[in-house]
Amino acid sequence: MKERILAFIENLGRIDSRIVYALVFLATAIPLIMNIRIPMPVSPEVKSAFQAMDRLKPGDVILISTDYGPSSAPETQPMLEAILTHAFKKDLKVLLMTHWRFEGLIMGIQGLDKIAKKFGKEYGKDYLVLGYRPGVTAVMIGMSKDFRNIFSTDNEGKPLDSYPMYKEIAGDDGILNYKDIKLLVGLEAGDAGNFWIMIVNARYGVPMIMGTTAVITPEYFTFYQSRQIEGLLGGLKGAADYEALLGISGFASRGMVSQFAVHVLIILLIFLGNLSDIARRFRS
Amino acid sequence: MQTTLPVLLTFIMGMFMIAMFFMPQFANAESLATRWTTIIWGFALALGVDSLLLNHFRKIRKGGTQAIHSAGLIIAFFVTLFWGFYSWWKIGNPFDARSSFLWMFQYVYLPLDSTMFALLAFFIASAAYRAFRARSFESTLLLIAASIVMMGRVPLGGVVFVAFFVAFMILVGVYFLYESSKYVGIDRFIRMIVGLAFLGTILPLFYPEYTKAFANFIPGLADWIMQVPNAAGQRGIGLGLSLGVIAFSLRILFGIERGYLR
Repeated sequence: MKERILAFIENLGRIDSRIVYALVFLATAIPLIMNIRIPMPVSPEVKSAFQAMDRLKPGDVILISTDYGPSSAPETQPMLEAILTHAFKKDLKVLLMTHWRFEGLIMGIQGLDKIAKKFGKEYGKDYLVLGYRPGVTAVMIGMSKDFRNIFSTDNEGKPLDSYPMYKEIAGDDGILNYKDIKLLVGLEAGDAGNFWIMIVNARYGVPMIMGTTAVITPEYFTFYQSRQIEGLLGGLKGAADYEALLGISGFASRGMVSQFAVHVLIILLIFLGNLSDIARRFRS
Repeated sequence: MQTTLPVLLTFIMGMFMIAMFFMPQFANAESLATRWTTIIWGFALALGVDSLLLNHFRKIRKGGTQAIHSAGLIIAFFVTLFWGFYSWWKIGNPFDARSSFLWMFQYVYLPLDSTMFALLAFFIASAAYRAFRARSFESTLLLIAASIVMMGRVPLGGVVFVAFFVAFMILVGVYFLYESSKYVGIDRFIRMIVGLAFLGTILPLFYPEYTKAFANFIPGLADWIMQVPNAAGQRGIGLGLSLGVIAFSLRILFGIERGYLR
């Protein structure tokens, strides 16, 4: 009897990979299809990011850098939409750019168009898309004197200073640079965020918050602790927390239940694998 | 001359960039240099495309089972390129909402890229199931910390963690009690006490208020793990990396490291 129980437990560690894949698929798909939402406590670093945005006054300018691509969009796109919702609710002026992957610009424009339409915001008056420039640190340093050093035109090829928003935010000297930016929002899937912090925060003192994919979030906690960044949205949970603080229920809140189901499944699988290992050692 | 000139150029430009970083008097020169850098980056992208295409053309020429993938890449590259140019010619901007190129991006490229990344979840689940074993103190610690963070960052994670905790404690407790039957005297007594201690840890959880407090404690514990032990480790790695980068950069500037010239 004992031998049979041990053999059964040992077999729990030999589930076919295809069954594991099917379980992961079901754990992801079912909560998304059923649209289940469960509230959860908000992380302090997200609360801090929310407060940094909330402190801004109407007309203040935020610069959003969408340094990600479609592969990381399920995590970062809800962050962008939540932050834009907050920004337009507060009547902030939004500048959007990227310097990591060109696709980031397209993802950014899609998010911006969607949320701007919802709030009736106009291109050139309430928001501007600077575009994509490769060069990372060179772009950041180049923008320090005048954004037009790097972005002489916007993404549509028109001179930046031809827009009413530019004239409004650039001030009397007609120069737009980091001094005019009240908060920088870096949505990051790679290491471009490190350079924003090392160059633009450390050298030019621009306050910033970061939204990062879950994989690179641990790296950014050091910057959050040293207050080089005012807040941090880590992975889908970060986006869901921001949505919760805004009182909206978007894709991130919906996706959290899928994430919960997959996490539980993975821990259960690890548990079964270890149980099977113990049984194997007993038998041998 | 072939080596001396690039090394000399690297040294001069490197020193110039360092001086510009620390001396505000050079602000205009820095601005010009950064504009040059963005232009060089543009050429680097063109070089990247050239290298990618040459490499895959070479693979097709060589033949073999991989050649079909290289052909797929080259066809996809040119289809995308010409489609982009076509939309540019037709609409004026390939990324305009009316452009068919944007349609291709939205309904072909975006799902493909997302799918590639999403496959990771399946492989991670399968790999964790097969390979994540608590065989040493370090791996057990990693397993526990990972479970707490995974459960602490999802809704209801604390409640599920309590269930796993109870199952784990029962398992370990029963294991020690079973082991005790193989020993006699003090050895048996110690194992029985350890087994009962493990089982005893779950007794408070029969009271709902304790279970609730424990479940609520997990998200806080996950935040603490991220902000204290994780940040400490990351900071150490960051400092080590930065020192390494500084040392390596100095080696390049002084011409000791010349690997980039090959």
